[in-house]
Amino acid sequence: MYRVVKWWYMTLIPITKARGILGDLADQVQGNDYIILTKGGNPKVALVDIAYLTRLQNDLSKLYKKTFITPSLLPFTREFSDAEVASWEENDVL
Amino acid sequence: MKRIFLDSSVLFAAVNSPTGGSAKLFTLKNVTLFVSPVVLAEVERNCRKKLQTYHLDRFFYLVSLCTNLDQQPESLHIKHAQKVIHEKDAVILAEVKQSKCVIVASLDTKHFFTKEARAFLKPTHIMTPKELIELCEK
Repeated sequence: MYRVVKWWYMTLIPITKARGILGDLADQVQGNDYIILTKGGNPKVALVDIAYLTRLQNDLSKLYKKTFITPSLLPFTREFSDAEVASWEENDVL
Repeated sequence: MKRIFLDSSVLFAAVNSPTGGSAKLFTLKNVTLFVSPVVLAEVERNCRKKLQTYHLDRFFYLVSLCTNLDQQPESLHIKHAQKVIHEKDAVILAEVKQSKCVIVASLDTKHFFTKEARAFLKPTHIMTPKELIELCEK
């Protein structure tokens, strides 16, 4: 007997046990629900709805392909402190 | 058309808060908003680090409403700026000087609104978004 752990929208199941029921597991993954297959008790791979994966990849590439950050400009930039961001918010009130 | 340079504080605040004065600048008529590559890189870096993913979308949207200046930081300008402002702000002050805009909008009242910084930037005026909105709505 193996233990299937369900946590929020994901299910954990050992790869060895998943082999025989792969078809059933593939039917279970839908939208944000995915199944994590474990090996030696550790997460190894995931069964993910292909539409969800494609959407995720598209969103990420959209988000990351655009950038104004270039290595030559980075030394001229700095990280804002929380205190200065708070003071800007205060000064920005109309 | 007034040429207004947005410093990092204003662009970051506009991304962070859609109800503040900085965000309202993007709705003003008869103004052209300018940003430099350094400002863009700095604000994007901080958006990615400090804000949520949807803020980054908003950042790119707001940037699309601005004119991007084709200028690179110049060490001579930065050196001059370091004499009148805190070192951390010298790069942006030098960027403003290079931009030749009429007005620079900033929320950093502590460092940018000093006599020395104003004299350095002359004839460019330093204003907060609130002051700028009042001026444009007169």
